[in-house]
Amino acid sequence: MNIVMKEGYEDLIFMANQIGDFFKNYPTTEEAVEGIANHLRKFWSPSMRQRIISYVEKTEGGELAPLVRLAVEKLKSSS
Amino acid sequence: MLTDRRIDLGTPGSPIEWIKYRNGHKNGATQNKMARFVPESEIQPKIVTLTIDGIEVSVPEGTSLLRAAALHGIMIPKLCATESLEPFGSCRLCLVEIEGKRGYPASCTTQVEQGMKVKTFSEKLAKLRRNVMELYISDHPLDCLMCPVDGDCELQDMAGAVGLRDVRYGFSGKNHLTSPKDKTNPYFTFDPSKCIVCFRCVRACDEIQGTLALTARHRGFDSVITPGPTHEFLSSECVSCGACVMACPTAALIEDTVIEKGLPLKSTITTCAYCGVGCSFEAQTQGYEVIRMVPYKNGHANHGHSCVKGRFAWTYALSPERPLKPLLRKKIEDPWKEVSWEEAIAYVASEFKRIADKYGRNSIGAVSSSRCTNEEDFLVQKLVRAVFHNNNIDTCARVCHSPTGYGLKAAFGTSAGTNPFDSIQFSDVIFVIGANPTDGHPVFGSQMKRRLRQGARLIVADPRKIDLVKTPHIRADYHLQLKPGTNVALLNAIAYTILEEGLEDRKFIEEKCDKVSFEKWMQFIRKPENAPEAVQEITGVPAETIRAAARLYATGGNAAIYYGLGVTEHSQGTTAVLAIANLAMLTGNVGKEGAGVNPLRGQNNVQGSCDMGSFPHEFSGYRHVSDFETRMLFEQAWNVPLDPEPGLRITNMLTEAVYGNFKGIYVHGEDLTQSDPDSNHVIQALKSMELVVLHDIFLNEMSKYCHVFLPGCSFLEKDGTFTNAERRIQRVRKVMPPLCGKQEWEVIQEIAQAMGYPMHYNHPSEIMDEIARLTPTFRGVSYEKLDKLGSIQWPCNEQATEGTPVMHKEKFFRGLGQFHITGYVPTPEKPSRRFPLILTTGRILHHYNVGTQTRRTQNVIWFKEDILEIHPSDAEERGIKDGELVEVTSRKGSGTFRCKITERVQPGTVYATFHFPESRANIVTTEISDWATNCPEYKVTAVQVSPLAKEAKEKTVAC
Ligand code: SF4
Ligand code: SF4
Ligand code: SF4
Ligand code: FES
Repeated sequence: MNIVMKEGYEDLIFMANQIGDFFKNYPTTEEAVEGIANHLRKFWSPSMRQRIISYVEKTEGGELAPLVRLAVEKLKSSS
Repeated sequence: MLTDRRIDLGTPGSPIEWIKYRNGHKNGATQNKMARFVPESEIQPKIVTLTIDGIEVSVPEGTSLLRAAALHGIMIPKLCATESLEPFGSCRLCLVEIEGKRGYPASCTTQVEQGMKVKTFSEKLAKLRRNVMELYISDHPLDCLMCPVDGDCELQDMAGAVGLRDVRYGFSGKNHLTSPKDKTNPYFTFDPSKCIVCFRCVRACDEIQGTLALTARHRGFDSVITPGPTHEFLSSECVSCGACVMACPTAALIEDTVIEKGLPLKSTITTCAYCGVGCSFEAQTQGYEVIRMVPYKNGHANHGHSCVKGRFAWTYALSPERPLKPLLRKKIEDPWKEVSWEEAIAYVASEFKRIADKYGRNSIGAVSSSRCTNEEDFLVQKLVRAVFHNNNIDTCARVCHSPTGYGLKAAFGTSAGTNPFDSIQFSDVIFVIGANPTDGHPVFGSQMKRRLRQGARLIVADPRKIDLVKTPHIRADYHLQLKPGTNVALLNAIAYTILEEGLEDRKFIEEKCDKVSFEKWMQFIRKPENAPEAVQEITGVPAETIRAAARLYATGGNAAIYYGLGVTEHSQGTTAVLAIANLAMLTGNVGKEGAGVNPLRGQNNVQGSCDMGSFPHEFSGYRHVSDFETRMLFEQAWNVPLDPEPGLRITNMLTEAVYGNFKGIYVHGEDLTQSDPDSNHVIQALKSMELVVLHDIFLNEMSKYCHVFLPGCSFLEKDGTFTNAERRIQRVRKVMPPLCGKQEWEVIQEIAQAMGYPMHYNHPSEIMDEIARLTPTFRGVSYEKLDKLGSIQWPCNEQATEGTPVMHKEKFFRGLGQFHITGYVPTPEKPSRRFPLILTTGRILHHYNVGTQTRRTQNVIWFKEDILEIHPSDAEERGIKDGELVEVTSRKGSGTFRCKITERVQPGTVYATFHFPESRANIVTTEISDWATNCPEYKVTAVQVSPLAKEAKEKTVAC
């Protein structure tokens, strides 16, 4: 995972987008976003969640899939 | 040692299921006739009453006279019969007289009949038996006093029992006394001069192991037992399982250690520490010296069978390469210094405290091992949660079966397989996906083959033609030879077919599953992209084959799914587990014998280490750390506040280390550089930490980057429990004292104490008591009960006091079974012009994981190096010849392999084993991992294969 070294977020972006890929087939956007946010809450450590939130804050999260970006925003508002 | 090889016909030892199976077999309810599962309560065997030697005896119909007599304490002399095998009737020693019947029938092959009057001893019978023995002995060396099995030989016993006093024929006639021994197998010797041609070995190899390696050459007096096709054991088809050695009544087939050292005097029952089958063994010793490991006939997972690893490859435990004193160095560039336990533990404790003070409590953590005991794993996570004050605990199960944990918990409610191994005897259809049981889980593989020989149908989904696809008397009905990385697409297409053709089990779904999730799933799965016709492009499996396999799975009767790392070690590992669970629910194949979803676990205690709360987000029994009630329970028991947030996984610990946020790690029984993806990243991370503690039995690769090495114990030196792939908790018993002076649980406890936390256990049984107090699914487990019952399958609690063999019977553990939408997402790892082939990985029978143990045994005689399999057309295109060294390059690195040209793999796919660190060399270690659990994708890597340059070849050969 040496990509991490180039940019402090890339490992998490990759992982978060993968999670998004699983939930994107859910019937509604709400369900998908909730699924992603819930996964991050349950399985990511607070430091990882903080890192992805600050990525979205700093860069608007352009490299995140739209559903994932919504989920991170949801995470942010609930944390 | 009189107990092990002797067959005690008086004690029906095996579990009921097993006996039922065997009886069924005897009754001819087998060989292509399917035994259907009948609930225990409905079995009413007809009882037959007869008299034997004037005593009235009653036994179930179908019992042999030999057994009926034995059950009532009447021993009839016998040689070719043994409890573990079908009766054969060749030795003619067990003759009896039956009133009203002519002649002297063999009691082992004659079944009881109502009102029969049987005599087992008479003048005439005694004479006949003496004659038989006389013939045997006239062709048998009379060196009994010097024979390795003197005192443990059935021939000797029978000679005594029939009162043989002299041999009229002398020894000068035609005999086999000078036949040469076959010593080619590194673990046992065949001495034809001692062979009485009873065929027990041949039958053991056929019936128990299913390899059919042995036959008799020639006929009549000249017949000799021989391993085919080469006539010597080493190069034959024999897989060294030892079943023939176990069955042999004389010293014709005998362990070399017994020849060298004599018969063992003591026996301790313990559990194999290699794979997730969890075979029970008798560790037979003289003093503290292990003479041999003999599979325990009452073992609930193995019923007296074993494979070469557990049976013979235990000598690594005594390897002189094991460091037995703690080693310490302040900097990894420094040489190691041997220190006392006190100094090592004090240093570890003070460094962890210093680091946590300086960098914060989240800067330290631990990794535990699925090779260690439940008690050890429980203590390591307790050390982290209660003493380190964080949840940075992970286990090496992360890299193999974490998707199973996630997937089965989400679908069914427990992170575990649903059925016991024995349940396969009631399967009509067996669906094996991404697993290779005959190599990876050999003893269960043998049991599966037995069921298949009886006629169960077989579907194999694997990129490679594994042995099961075609093996003596077995042929898969369908081999779905899919492209690596396309499991989810295939499973979805199977589900699509079942729904489209209306083959689902509506009643099951309505009664037991969550309707909302089913409806949503149905909408998804019915999409045209999931149709076999659409998916055949992706998987490479013809639509019609997918459809046919789907029909068989859905309508063939009890259908069981067995899967392994070929399912989990993918970027969509968790999705595939969920898709498997969907299939089983869709067809009503959960909660009954012969069916279920059954992960085959790689290492011995993968199940246990997960159960014990070794993941950063959950306590023992799979309860999330954020769950208030559970956390309070633990806080009260441990008397510390606990962190409600998930901690870091292995990969995340390493990444944080590279960032400079994670500074100290305790690694128990694991080699992060070898078992974890991207070893460069691992090394960089380890180098940036201030304290790396390794607790293991060998100085593994990772030790190069460690500050403290704490010597560990082999399974022969510790007390504890392992939990196998069927949730079966079994005792590991100490056979010899720990060579390094301390059992591992003691060391963990001392670290906790040195860090100021009061941790005081006197024995691992007290740790299990704590686990039971704190974990609902383990509530009823104790060492006392384990000693009484032999093994327990969790959940074991007030509702199931002796454990639970089949799960989710009345309802799912979580209430209603949950369907999950499982969209196929191709892995980002794709073949390209530079890396046009897809490499997938697997294991071979004789080695285990990265080979740390098996490479230190004589198992290297079979495989000295890793093998790469390549299709003839791919080989030809590259000018590669069979057996030569090739270079395999991926985006991540390259390695050298011996190549084998074979049609087992398809064009475009290559397959390699990874048991030797030399070849591993970073090839399969891409950064891609499972989306849900970060289980690394070891099963798909784009590579190029090329002949090794000549100079390099010379260099490799030279070193
Ligand atoms: S060791 Fe096992 S495989 Fe080999 S001949 Fe004996 S029974 Fe057969
Ligand atoms: S080797 Fe042993 S088991 Fe096999 S036929 Fe000879 S005596 Fe019987
Ligand atoms: S099958 Fe597994 S548990 Fe059994 S002896 Fe072999 S390695 Fe050990
Ligand atoms: S034991 Fe019955 S014939 Fe050999």
